[in-house]
Amino acid sequence: MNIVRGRADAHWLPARYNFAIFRLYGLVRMRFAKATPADVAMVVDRHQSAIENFTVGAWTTLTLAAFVVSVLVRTWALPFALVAAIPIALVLMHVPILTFGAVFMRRGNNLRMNSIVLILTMSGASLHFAGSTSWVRFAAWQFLAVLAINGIAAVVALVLQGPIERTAAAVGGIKSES
Amino acid sequence: MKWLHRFHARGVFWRHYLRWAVLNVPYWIEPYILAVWTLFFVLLWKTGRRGVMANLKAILPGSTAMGNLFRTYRVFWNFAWTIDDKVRFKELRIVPDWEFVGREYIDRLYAEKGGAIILTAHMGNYDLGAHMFAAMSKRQIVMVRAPEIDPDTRRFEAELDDRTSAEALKIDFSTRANDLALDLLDALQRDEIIAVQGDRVTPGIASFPATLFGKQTELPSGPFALAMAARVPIYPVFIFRLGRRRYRLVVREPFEVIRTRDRSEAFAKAMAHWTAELEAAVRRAWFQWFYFEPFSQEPPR
Repeated sequence: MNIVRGRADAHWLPARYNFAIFRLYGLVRMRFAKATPADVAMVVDRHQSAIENFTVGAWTTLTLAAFVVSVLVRTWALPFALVAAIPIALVLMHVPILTFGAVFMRRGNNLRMNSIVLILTMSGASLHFAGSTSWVRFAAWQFLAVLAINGIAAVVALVLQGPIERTAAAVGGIKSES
Repeated sequence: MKWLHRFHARGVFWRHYLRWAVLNVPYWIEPYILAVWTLFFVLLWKTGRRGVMANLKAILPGSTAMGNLFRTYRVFWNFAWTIDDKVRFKELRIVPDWEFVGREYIDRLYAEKGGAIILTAHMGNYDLGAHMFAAMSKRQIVMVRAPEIDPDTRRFEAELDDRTSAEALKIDFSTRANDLALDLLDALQRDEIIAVQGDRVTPGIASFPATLFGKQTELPSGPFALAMAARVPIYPVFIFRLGRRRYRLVVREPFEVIRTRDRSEAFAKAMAHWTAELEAAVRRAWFQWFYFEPFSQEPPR
């Protein structure tokens, strides 16, 4: 694992982001960030960003909660459905993780596989609800739209791979000690 | 019903589950999964919750029980992140970002001839901090800590430490008091650094009376006795969690336990210095003091 020492602005390194949209955001922020010397050690790892992880987690949880509300309101009053939706969504998130984690327990590290499984499960649910005629189709379509935008961003990030690597190298994020 | 102990808050089941979760829960959903499990433990682990609430009452005079219940959630939330970060480091070698405060003392500590004692507290991520020190200083560090209460959990942690600890970091346990004191003295004479937690007394270790947040308590006397015997300085060190995968390592000015005719007086002076440091750190980051029992047996006012 690479570590950048003495540069607080390394916080914005694109290599510290996982999803393409956030990588591009990091690249833009890094371009305009001033060199900030500080007594720090910044890790260059693609899952390091707090803002990215909190945002993506909130986005998927809220989308799933919208799907839960749309199912619950068929039998429950709306206020009850709204209150129960987020806890139920968080419990539902456990289902694919526990299932695949248990099946592939011997593999050890299932982080990437479970991440793909969760996104695919959410995409499947979104495709299902996108065909609905109720308000929930908007929640479903926004999920699919964000995925599509991230796909486009991934292509752009691939094209900009050179500048992304140069940005990391400029602060020592590539050749620094491991 | 001995097997039920596995499911107690300190039981081995949760250590296995945490390890499994670190290897299975995608990073981007982790904060929300942790939020659920934090709530689970706040609600179900009555002893821990009451211990933290009693301590908060002393740290924050005038605080209400309802307010402290929410603060307890924050303490548990930070604890969940720190143990998560620790296991992630041990299993996947993923380290957090670090900020360093007190660079002049850090450099002085590394350069110290004849060993030194790091005195710290159950705050932030002391395990990761010790690994960080070991990696940065290139010197042997001996971390002394209290063993887990549950025997299965103790075995699990020992196996994890054996498998994953850095070569420059040796972990020893505070329960084998007499043998350990000699070993540590030996280690200091070999220029090694000893890291000890000085905020909690566990059964079997020597203690000294102290006043913390205006309440009578007992704190470990071992670090002071060791510093006096080996004539090495004590560096107060605190590790604060700043956010997801972000920590601040604070090294404070070292102090010495001067050898005088009156051993108790020397101890009392050193203890007063340490409690002032500890109080300042805990007051600033009460949400990261992972002390799940009341630190004082004095009844609440």
